[in-house]
Parts: sequence; structure tokens; C-alpha cells
Amino acid sequence: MEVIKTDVAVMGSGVAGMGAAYKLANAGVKVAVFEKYPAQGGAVSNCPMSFCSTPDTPEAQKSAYEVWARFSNYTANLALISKALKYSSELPDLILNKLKIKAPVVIHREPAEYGTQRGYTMGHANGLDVGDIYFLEGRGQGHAFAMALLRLRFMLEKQGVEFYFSTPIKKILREPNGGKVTGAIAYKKDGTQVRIECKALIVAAGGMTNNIPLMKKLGVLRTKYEEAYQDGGQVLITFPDSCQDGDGHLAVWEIGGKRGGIAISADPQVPNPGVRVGPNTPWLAANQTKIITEQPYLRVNELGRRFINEEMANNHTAISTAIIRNNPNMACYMIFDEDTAKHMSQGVEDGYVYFIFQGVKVENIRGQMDEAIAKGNKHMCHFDTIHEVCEYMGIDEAGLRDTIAKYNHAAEIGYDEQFKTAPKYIRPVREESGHIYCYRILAGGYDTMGGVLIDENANVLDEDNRPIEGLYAAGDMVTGSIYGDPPANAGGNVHGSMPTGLLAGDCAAAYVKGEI
Amino acid sequence: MKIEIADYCIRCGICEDLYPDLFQRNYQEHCMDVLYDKIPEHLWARAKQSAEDCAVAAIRIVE
Repeated sequence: MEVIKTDVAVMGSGVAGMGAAYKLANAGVKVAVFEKYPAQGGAVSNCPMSFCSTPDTPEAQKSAYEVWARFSNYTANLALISKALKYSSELPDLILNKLKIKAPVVIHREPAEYGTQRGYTMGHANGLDVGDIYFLEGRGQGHAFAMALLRLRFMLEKQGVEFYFSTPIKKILREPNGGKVTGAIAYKKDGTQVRIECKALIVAAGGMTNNIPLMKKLGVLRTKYEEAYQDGGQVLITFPDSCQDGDGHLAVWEIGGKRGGIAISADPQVPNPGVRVGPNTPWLAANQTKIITEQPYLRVNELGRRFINEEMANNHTAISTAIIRNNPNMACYMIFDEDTAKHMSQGVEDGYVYFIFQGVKVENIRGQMDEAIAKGNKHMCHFDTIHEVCEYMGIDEAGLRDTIAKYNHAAEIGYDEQFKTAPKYIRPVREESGHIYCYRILAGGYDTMGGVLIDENANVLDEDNRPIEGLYAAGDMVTGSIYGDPPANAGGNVHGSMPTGLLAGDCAAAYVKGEI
Repeated sequence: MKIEIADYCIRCGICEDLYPDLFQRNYQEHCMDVLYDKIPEHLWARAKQSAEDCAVAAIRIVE
């Protein structure tokens, strides 16, 4: 059996793993990165066009900490939050200066304002609006973090970091009786085993969105619309064939790591076909479906009941969490009539800016729907009657009619007794308008979050909340420790992944040097 | 004209989405395949544009 000896082994080459390798290399310890994918992995190529950084000032750090701790309802590791925020202050120097990625737009936020914005502050909940937002310039049609990580890899290779692609770690080696971690077992593409001997192991293996059976087994995915979650359905918008299959979670749990809650980092999606140009690139829209389904109009579940203040339509954390945790089949339905379709043709609502530029007009919804339907999309429809919509979409008609009656009454009196939605957004749904439109919106997302819990030194915890010596973790899989356990269904996670990766790298380096 | 894909391609699939007549994801080898050994002349402009659109400059045109 081939043996690879290193000071620290890193499992995964996404945002977190690369952040860890960066710190380890700078600390002068020997690093080997093991990646299951044949190329740099992670969900990053399809996600971050922005990141948030909390400036390293007492005011900013304090305000961010308070917002974040409250957001987690104090179920996070609060000391870890503090450290992660501090590390986030390093991101601009690393990404902009060292990796030479341009940030044409930077939104500086006052610390007193943290936690008050939503929308495109990375799709996170208000609670993660905790710093300056950097919008990055990608190359070609891609997002900037793909290039950032590639440059980081080249930089690290020059520093002597070894990368082993197509070499998944499948098993962690730990001394008996709760001893320290001493290595891991990986497999080469030809199936031969590799024994990794290391002083510390950092697991940064991302989520499990490429493993639907495991997601179902763990209760992360529970829907009859399972086919939409397969590669190309674009409900889970990590790129197809990402190989993110929960290897890291399983390996950690096998040697006694504590099991944390898991959520989908959700961004509400109407599945393909015909919504996006292809199976890989969620940001390249084939039509205006995403714009339409960000609008704050009537949403119901399969029972025909409203389930959220529709003003939260563009707060992906809020609406996705509501859909996932409360709705049958992790689905909701946006319903509007011909009058509202005409209203959108005059321009979308101000302030609903996720993927929307103010002043955008939505033209010919019926034609756009028909085109997607012709390509086989079964998640949208338009009919003359509510009955036909309900029959086609599988919505309880009596429930929906009752909801619409109350909703239309709220429009009449200018007051939404149930959810207090702003009257200007309550647009009645009337068959007399001539037509009824409906989209099925599923709770999709970038990755799964959570499942492995760490302490403030990025040390993986056992069931008794004690650190497992020599074992560290970072990235999407540890979000329960920084956003709260179980994590909310928050959006993209560079804000958490890179800082926890940097932290894990620093702590593992200190450990192998005998400094802690 | 030929298209070469550098080994640092991240398999994000932008090329397949925008140029399905030139690229296809290979699920067995976990890579992107170029559909032609020699690119037909009527696709030269698209091939060059695909190199411009790649997120990590992994697509190279060999004249």
C-alpha cells in the first residue's frame, strides 16, 4: 500500500480546504490536499460572486458578533463566531490583493446597520448582513471564486503544497479508546488504497448534494419532486457531477464525531427544463422565471394555505426555511392573475433586487411559460380557472379558494390580518381577470450545510462536546457551529467557509508544532 | 482548429450550457469532452468565444 506522510492532510479543495491549506503553507508545515474530484472541487464555481467581510474594528466586530449570535439563537459556538468574524476581516487582502480578483462594487456598511439588510447580501438572512459586501468580477461567464481558488492552488503548489486529485479520503484513522487522529485511508482512481500518515487532518469536504439517497436517509430531502433534485434539474445548483456525496460526514461520524443538524442552503428555484440555459449554470437564465418568482405576490403550499409574509420572497433564507420546514414536499406555489401579469409587464417591484435590476419589465409571461412547458417543464402552468390550476399542480382547491377569498379581502381593505404584508404588494387573484398563472417553487440551494460540529479551534467535537485530538473541520459541513445547530437554510457560505478554513489551518498548524 | 482543455478545468460546465454543439459533460471520467477532434469551420467563431467565456481560462484554441 502506498503511504503518504505529511504534517497535515486536508480533505477537500473547495473554499474551506483551500483556506486551510493557505494558512498551513504559510505556517511552514507540510500539507497534502486530497480531492475526490479530478479537479479543484467544492461548490464554489457555481456560487460566489460576492463575499462579506467584517472589518477588524472593535465596533464592527462587536456589532457583527451580536447580530450573528442572535441569529443563531445562541445555538452556535459563540467563541467560534467571534473567531470566524475576525478571520473574515482577512478576506479582502487574500482575495483582492494576493489573488488579484477585482471587486468593482464594494458596499461599505456601518456597524450599527448590521443585520438590517436582506436581498442580495449574499442571499443570507438579515442576520448575516454583518460587514462590507464585495462584488467580484469573474472571468468570461463564470463567477470569480472559480478563478480565485485556481490562483490560490497555483500559489500553494509553488509553496510546496501537494495536491492529490481523484483521491478521495474514505476513512479516518484514530487511535483506540478515543485517542488522537493519526491519518486516513484514501483511494486512487484505479482503486488502490493509499495510507495517509499525518499529525492532523482537516475535513473540508463540503456537503452531500450529489448523494440524494443519503440526503433522503438523513431527512434532508423529503419531497415527491425528487427528480428535480437530480443533476441538471437545477434545484440543487452545485454543478452537476460535483461528487459532493457526504464522504466527510460519514468518515467523521464513523470515528465518533458528533452528528449535527443538516440543512439545504436554499435558494428557491423553479426547476429546469427551460428555466436556465443549461444544466450547469444557474445564473444564466433562459427566461424571466427567476425574476417573476422573486416578486412578493401570493404564495401557498399544497394545502392552498399561505405560509409566509410574501414580502420575504427575496429573502432566500427566510422563504426557503419556511418552505422546507413547514410545507409538504418542500414546495410552494406562486399564484397570480392576468392583472398582475400586466402589472409586471410595466415593471417589477422596487426593492426586489435579487437578480433583478430596477425598472426591469416582465414581458409575455404566457409565452415564456409555454416555451418552458414545451421543453418538458411540469412546474408551471396557466389556465383560465383556479380549478384547472389546482388540478394540474396538485393544490387543494378548497384550501386555495378560501385563501384567495381572504387575500382578496385583505387587498380590498388594505390590511393583511394574517401576515401583515404591505398592502401595496397584495394583488388580488381573480378568475375574472381572464387567466391564472402558477409556478411550483422548490427549496433548492447550493449545498447542504452542517452535520459536523466544531469548537472555537475548529476541532471536531465528539458526542460529549469534547474535541477529537488531531481532527479539524471547516466549511459548509460545520455551519451548524457558526450559524446555529441545526443551521437555517441560509444561502451561499463563503462568509463562513473561508474563515473557518483559515481558522482550521492556523489551529492545525499550531497543533502539529506543539504550540497548543 | 482544435480545442484543448487544460487539466485545471474545474468542470463547471459553462461550456456545455453555452456551446452544447462543442462540449459535453462526461460523467464517467468526470470531465468535459470536446465533441470534435477537429472543429468544423462553421463552429470556429463559437469555439473561440467558448475560450473567452471559460471561468478559469481552461479552454485553449489550437489553430
